[in-house]
Amino acid sequence: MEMAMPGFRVLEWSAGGRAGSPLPAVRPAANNGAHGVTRPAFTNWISREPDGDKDSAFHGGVGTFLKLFAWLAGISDDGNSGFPNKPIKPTTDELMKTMICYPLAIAVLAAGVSLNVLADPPPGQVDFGKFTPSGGGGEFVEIQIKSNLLSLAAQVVGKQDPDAAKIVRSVQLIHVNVIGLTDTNRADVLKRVRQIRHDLDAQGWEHNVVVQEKDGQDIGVYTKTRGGEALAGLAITVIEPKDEVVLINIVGDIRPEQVAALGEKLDIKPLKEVGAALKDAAPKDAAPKK
Amino acid sequence: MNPSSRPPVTRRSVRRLWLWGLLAAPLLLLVLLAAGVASCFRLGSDARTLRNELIKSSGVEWRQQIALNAGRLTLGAVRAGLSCARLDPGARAALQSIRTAGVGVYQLPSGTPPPDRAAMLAAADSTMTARGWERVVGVMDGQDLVTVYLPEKNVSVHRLKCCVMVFDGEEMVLVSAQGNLEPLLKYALDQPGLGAQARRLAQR
Repeated sequence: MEMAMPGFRVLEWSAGGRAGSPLPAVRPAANNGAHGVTRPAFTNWISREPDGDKDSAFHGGVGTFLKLFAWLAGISDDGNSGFPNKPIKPTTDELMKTMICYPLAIAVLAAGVSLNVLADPPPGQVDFGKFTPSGGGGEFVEIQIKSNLLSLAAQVVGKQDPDAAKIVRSVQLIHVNVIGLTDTNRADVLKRVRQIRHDLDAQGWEHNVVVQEKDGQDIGVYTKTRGGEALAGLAITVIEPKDEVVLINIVGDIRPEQVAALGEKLDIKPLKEVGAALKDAAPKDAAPKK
Repeated sequence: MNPSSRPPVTRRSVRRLWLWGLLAAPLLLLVLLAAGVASCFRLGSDARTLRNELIKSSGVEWRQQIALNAGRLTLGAVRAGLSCARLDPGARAALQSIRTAGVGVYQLPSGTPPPDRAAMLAAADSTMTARGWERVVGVMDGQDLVTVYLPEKNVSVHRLKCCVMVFDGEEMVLVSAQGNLEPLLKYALDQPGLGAQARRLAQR
């Protein structure tokens, strides 16, 4: 009596096998239902008798490996395991399918993982590069909130305010860098920030706002639009030559009307202003306002 | 050879096994108890690695003030013990939220030159990144250094892990915790006037 283990295909011995083939045929049982005899395909291979078998692919090293693997996995072919004790040999088709499909599937999976790792960053993401804190005790702040934490925040906010949660969910990344300027790093950091601005211009970001104060403060707001309706990214660079540099990048599918509506709803003036500014910035390919 | 002489040998060996088992069980319990008590004074593996890396990269000697760790078993026992006690709802919510927690306090001996915090931060980053954590917050200001690490994956309200380090130039505090935020959030969101307070803060 064979034990039933759901989840595997039923294989039965077929007497004879195909003509000319050293391997006997294996055919699915007519009806296994939910209580079929179970036996993973590779245990069939390992139970094969090597005698008289010309196909040596599963003998020697591979066979030993599979036996060891099955033993480690707790799958045995003895009478106590619930598996039939008869040697069952797969067909050439089965062998080919298993031998080619498994490695192919693994290769495809591995390629997918690699591609995912190497995938381009979202269009609204800006690579500010790695800023390291200056050793001279200057200020340094780095906040990087990615989608996993944002979705957590959305879960939290969503219980009280679903609209706010929708906005939070639409954001993929918030990256804030504040680098205090000291005599040792000032020239280098300012040069890098100017390079970032130059790169943003070159990459087609819209330079929407420029504020240059008398004390040297220099603010630049850049946006990257998506389909003329939403913002794919927002980058803000603030240079205060005496004190610090601030770099902000918000990536996502930011709908200006959502931001403005949230500002109206919560009566938060800065949010209303940001929403209005984004609304102005988003739809057209406006010339930089200077 | 008389086969009837074999069974008594088997019986004796079985009896001996039982005897060994009886002797070993209390010993094993003692060892487990000792390990449990020792683990209360030992930080979790991630926090320990972070601490070791921070100490190594600082290049100075630190004095351990305290290191405490409360695992699931300890906190579960505390929760069970306090289940009948009258507690402030906020404290109860916090207790229900925390699953594991550990804290370590380390001090620089007086007169020690201030360590290179940038090097400490860089070393901590590389170690934690290799262990599947990412730095969410890093702040250096004056003598202070604050870092917050969260796991790169599997962050949810029900299972949130974090590792926080605060150094004020003299003392370094390491906190690691894992918990289910839901009871705490529920308590916070049920508080009347919380929305108004948040709005006031946002308007500022």
